[in-house]
Amino acid sequence: MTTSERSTNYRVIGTRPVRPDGVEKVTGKAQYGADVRLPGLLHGRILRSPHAHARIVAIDTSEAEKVPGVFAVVTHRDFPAARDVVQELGESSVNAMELSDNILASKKALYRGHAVAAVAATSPHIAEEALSKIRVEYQVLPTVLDVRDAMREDAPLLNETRFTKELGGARSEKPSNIASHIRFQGGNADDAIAGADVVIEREYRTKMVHQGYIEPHNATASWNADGTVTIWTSTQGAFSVRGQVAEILRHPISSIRVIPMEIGGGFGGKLPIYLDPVAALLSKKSGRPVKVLMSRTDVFEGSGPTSGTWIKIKLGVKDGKIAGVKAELAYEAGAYPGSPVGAGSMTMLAPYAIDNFQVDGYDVCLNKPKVAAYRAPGSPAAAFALEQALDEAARAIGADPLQFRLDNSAREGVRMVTGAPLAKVGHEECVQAILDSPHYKSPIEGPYRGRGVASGYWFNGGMQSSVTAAVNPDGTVNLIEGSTDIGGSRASLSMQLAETLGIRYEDVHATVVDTDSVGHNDVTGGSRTTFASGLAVYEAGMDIRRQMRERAAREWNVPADQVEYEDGRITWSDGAGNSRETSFAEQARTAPQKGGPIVGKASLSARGVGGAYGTHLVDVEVDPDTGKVTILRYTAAQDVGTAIHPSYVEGQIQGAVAQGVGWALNEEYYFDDNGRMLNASFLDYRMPTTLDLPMIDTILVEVPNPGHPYGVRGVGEVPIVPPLAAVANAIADATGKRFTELPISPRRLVEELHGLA
Amino acid sequence: MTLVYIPAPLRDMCGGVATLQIEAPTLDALLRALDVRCPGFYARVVEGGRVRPELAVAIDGEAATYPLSEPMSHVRDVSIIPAIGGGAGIEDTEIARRYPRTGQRRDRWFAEPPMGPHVLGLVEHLSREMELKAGTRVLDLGCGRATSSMFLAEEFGVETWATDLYAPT
Repeated sequence: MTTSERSTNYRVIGTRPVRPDGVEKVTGKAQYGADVRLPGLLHGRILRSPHAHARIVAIDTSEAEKVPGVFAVVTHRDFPAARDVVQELGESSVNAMELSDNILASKKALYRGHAVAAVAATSPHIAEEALSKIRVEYQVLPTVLDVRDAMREDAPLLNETRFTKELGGARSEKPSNIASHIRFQGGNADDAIAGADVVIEREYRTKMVHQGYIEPHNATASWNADGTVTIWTSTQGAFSVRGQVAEILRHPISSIRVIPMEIGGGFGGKLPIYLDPVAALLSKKSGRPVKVLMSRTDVFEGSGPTSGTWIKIKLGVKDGKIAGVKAELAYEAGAYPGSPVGAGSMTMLAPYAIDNFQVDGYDVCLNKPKVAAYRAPGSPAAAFALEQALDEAARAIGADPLQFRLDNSAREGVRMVTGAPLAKVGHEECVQAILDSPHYKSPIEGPYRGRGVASGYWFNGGMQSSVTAAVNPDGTVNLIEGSTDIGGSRASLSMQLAETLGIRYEDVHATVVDTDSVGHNDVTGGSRTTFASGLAVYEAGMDIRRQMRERAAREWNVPADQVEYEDGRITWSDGAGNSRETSFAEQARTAPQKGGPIVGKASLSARGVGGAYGTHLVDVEVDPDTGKVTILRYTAAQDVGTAIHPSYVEGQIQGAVAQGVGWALNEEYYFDDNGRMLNASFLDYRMPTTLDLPMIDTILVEVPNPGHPYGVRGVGEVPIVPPLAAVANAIADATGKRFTELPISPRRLVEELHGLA
Repeated sequence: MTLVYIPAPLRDMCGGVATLQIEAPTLDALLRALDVRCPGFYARVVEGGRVRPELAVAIDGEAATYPLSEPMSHVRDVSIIPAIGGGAGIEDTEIARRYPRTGQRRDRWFAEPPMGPHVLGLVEHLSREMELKAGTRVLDLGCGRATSSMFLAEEFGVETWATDLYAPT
């Protein structure tokens, strides 16, 4: 279903052409990183720390090096000294020293699974045998695994020289695992809450969860005699891999070529790098190409999940309005600083107009893997807390939960907690769409059945994009771009180019090329690609239109600014009966004779980003004996700007809801006291399957983004924000019990419902 | 005139106010004008000719990577916010981790060496190879501002003799 304020004049935008990569993916023909085969290829394997916190006293690789078939062994000593500089990765940033230390530990192993050495050998089995011969002397240290424990003054310190940094520049007196503290403040929250009719005060917890992409991390590197290195890898950003590898190996950027393979999911987890510099060093040492693959256990233990969190909220309501909110958010960063607590703090209140607030965020290090981005990083946990508190407040004053959200909704001009005013946004429209939906108008009846709603926000991103569009004599166009296609961007970019040029979608062929073959592109992250690379595609299309108009004007001997381009037709008229006409196809065909190739180009840093909202509605049934929660019906409304390819947009929403339901009901990193993850396989780490979910209904609310010629907003991240809270609110409705800790697993439900906790 | 929204942690520098009206042609000029009203503000936001990586500037609601030369004449609204991907504590981490004695130095003379690689880090590195104790005599030839000599004297109680052709002005 779609409700729309957008232009209806589009010819290509809003249609649903067949996806270009579908058949190759389902038949196994598509080439992923693990499929790379090269002459003389060696197999790399990584040795990982069995301890969650240990000083590395010594590493002896001499026996491993003697194993026949072993060509190279590397440890942190093989890395050049890293610099203390920060690299931007879109929705995350990384300090080069810490990145280097995370890829191969130097002084300390900070979590179980932390890489300490790597081997390249003629077969994976020989490589694994060699790993078993590496002697690492560890001095095991006490671990800290809970975010609140890690904040205590007597907690074991991961880094004795880390102090808490304030945004204001101050730092703590004593070393701490709290890497930073931020605060947002407006009005007077204490006074507003003191004067409220209803006050809700609660603590909420969410667990560390993994993105769960199907394809494990991989990297193949070939170090060439001239000092250049080629890397084949699965990544959300080939250019960011190149930049990170250049920084870690202190190698010129131009000497590194990164070839992005098809990607089997990322969700933010394939923004940082883990294997690429290791494969490159192994190749340099061995003189052979080297491929390194992670196992699923490696992915769980040694890549970047998202933070477990502790959030405390105190919220006051007066006369049906949110009078004030005080919130504290503590997010696990993992082994090194950099949790998404800033984003969580900034998005938590974004759907609402709230004058009085104080939001404090803490970025906390502990002995778990360093977190990476995961779809709207930081926002789902914040919404889990706030949207439950709002649900309780609405119940307390007897308000309809959607009407309560509508009455308090943010809109254009409302300031976010950062002070930044919102541009044109569509939260009210989303709430209204759910209010008007057949689902909301249908009754929910029966014992242990309940209904929940929740809203959520994500900023979306802009950043840098470059594209080239080459016109062929037969009227087709090759679109050369550098944004990993993770959610259908080859289609959504081709459609925007076809719309701009007034040609058929089928006449545009998009290819994601390597870092030597197109200008810089930032990562596919922050839901930015269809927006920002789309903006570049539009500009490249306009460049082609300009060149064609100028050629026609020269031929007709008329001023170029009097020549019009519309729907692939190029026309001139003097208004006195004289007119000329040519077409895109004609100009393409005659280009070799009329001035040579026509190539459109654009490189830009995109402005005009449109943030976006979603509101979700879910019905659940709880089995009080087994604790199983069945999702009966789910409807998600989202402000999608303009849905370029509606099927992909619906797919983004459905996929994110599935991940959110898993996060709410089952998924968690389950650790023993020593920091060992006990469920590091998909057998024990329970993600929802198609059998666990009904069809997810979507309502595409189109409030065009004024910052984009076609009104595009990012769509991929918003829909994972509301599900955690929506499901929890539905379970509260079904059972009369408020669950403030995730996951709401069968065990936790049964314990709570039968007083066994 | 641009309305500048001061982030809560920096309001103490600005007499507690949350917003200020500033007129300036560029982002750099705006931050410098703020520094006059809120001494120390500029250095908190700008480092090495750019907005610090852990921060972002939102101009009329849009947070992005803006150059300091960004024109401000038509801007109504500016907020300084933490970077979306931020949270990474980066200041001094390398020095502090590798060279704890150096990392503890807070006074400007030591914390901001005037040029090149961190001189104290190098001295501390070398000091681990020597047996320095109270009474040891150290000759610091080509001492510059004699930072190394002061550091060694304070940290190890050694007696230092320092000389240079260069005289600090």
